[in-house]
Amino acid sequence: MITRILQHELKRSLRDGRTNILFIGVVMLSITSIILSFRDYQLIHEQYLENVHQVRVNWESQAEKDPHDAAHDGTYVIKPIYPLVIFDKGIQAYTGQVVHLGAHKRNQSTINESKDRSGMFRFGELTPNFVLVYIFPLLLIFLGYNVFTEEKERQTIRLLLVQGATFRQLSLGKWLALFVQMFLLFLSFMIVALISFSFLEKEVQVHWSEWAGLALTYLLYFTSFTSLIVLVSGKAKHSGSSLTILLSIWIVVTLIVPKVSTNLSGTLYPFPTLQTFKDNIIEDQTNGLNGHNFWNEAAQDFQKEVLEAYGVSSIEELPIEYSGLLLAEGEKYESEVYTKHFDLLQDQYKKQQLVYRICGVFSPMLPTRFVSMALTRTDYGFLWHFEDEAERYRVTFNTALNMNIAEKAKGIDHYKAEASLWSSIPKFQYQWQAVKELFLNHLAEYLISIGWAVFSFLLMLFVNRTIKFV
Amino acid sequence: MLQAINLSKTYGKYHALKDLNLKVNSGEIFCLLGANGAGKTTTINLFLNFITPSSGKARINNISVSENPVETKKYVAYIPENLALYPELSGLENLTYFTGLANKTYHKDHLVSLLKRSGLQKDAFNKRVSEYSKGMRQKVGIAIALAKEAKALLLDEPTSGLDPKASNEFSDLLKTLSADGIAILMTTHDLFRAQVTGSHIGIMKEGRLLEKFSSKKVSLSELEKTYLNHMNTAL
Repeated sequence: MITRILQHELKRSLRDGRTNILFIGVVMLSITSIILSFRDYQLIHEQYLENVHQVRVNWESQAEKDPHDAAHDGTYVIKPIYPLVIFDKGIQAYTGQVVHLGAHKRNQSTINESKDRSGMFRFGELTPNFVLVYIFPLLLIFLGYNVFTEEKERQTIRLLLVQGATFRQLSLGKWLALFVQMFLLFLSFMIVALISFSFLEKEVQVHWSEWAGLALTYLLYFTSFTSLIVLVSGKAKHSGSSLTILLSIWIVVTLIVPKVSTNLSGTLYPFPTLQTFKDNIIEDQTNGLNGHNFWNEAAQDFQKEVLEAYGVSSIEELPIEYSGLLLAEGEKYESEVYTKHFDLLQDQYKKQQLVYRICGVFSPMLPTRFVSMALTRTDYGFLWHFEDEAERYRVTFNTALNMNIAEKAKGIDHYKAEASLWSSIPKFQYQWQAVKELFLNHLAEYLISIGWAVFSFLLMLFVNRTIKFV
Repeated sequence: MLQAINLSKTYGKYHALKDLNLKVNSGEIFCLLGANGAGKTTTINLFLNFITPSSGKARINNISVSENPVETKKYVAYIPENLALYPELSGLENLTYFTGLANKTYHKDHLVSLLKRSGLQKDAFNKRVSEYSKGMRQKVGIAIALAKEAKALLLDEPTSGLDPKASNEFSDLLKTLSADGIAILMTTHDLFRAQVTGSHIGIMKEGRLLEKFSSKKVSLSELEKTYLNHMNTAL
């Protein structure tokens, strides 16, 4: 029975000019968005490779100089771009792409893509993710808002029931037909995305499970919409009211709840202002170890420890250059202070994520969006991870320079390191977060999405067990 | 085959149907006459379980409709005033789908023969229903009933809006079906059609069945007189 209803619904959809036009429109939109995204990726990736190369060339081509001066001049690390970004650009355009690594100071990433674009960019961007999150549900609504109301308006529902079909069988058959249409459309979208992906120049291999994870999260999202559509069409008296209700749901799910959750998370768990953030760091650093301050209490304690370790009574008796040691140790301490304050920011972000998760109960778009951004490495999680990695590299980088002073500058006025030192400093190699870790971090989002899909489906079956049409 | 026992339906204080007692045996055509609001469609809807009775019972093949709606639907077919089919499908495709829903699977040739039997022109079988006249749609409805091998047929003003020729063809079809042993309950405003087609006639007013008799025992003029008498008399 259900198979017959499914086949019948698909046959009708195929013959419906409206469906065909909608399908063609969305397929064109999908292809265009993927091509645009592909082009953007290629451009950014080329710039990335060029910048990484140029930064290293600049670093290695420095003349002889004091290693600590070199540390102050610093270098740059460039945020890499993950190939799956062609799927979802997330917040990438609004976050910095470059981190300056200097002495004593942890910098945040700067130079973001949006600043390079005209104001018209704010009118919106056609990305694959935009098509999936906003356009696909709209297409589903236009395909399915009248699956039941049309039967009621035409009165074909009477004949269907007399012939022995039950409301539940009809609901299931119509749900399956809508799901199959959505699935075929999504499959064609994924095939285009995969083909484009195979032509990308990539520095990193993408595991199949990441594609599967992306596909799953979007399928769960569309499943929730499919069930809501069949449910509303079953309960609405007329096609017009069904369409109005469904468009209202779309507005709530895709626009209102995400906006409210952003405001709510920012209000409940606000980030400190940049000034407060900087002041807090300065306060913590004031009484701590500083590579340029030999006289404060922390420096005195450190000096005592060093002298004891070497079994000498004065700095002059040390076999190494003490200022280099102090700089290296000061760098470690300063970095710890930065890490502490950046961890506080990240803790605040985790609390905000909790708000988003709770709001996800009211909108399946939120968990979908967060999983999608995580797997495409375009979310805050990736930004924090990259900046943490950059900071770890900064400490290693500065320690190597400062230890060079400690080891080689003893007894030399105005020590200058040889140019070969610069190339001996290892390059920055970003280690991408493990896929398993990403999945585990977003298990809650998956559970909420699964909850949405299962609950909306069961609700549809329960509510549509009787449908009023007389 | 079709039986109403003290069947009533009320909406608040309004009695749409009150204590209807009615029996339609196999091979009989029972025509229910009455003005709008007399309770004719309510009776059909109760037999189809589209609405639930306030009291009393509707039975098909001795099975209570409200207690076993799925079972009773196996025995019944239905043609409303405007049979709604899927306009984007052909008559044959509509027949195939609705027959399939009744868990009947036939070869295409058999379905074609049913359409022929219902009187639909051969060249219309594969045309989209959007191009059909009302009479043609009603014929597809008959073919659906035939395919279902229904023992009872419920018709809600099926000839309303049909031209005389089409109405006549439809009446002949119903007579053929009743001759095959199908019990038919038909509501209509058309006294002539009821007298010509029906084996039994009932007159309804304000939810009550006022009178029922054999159509053979009354002429058309007597039927008209009786009907008007009832309509002009306050209950």
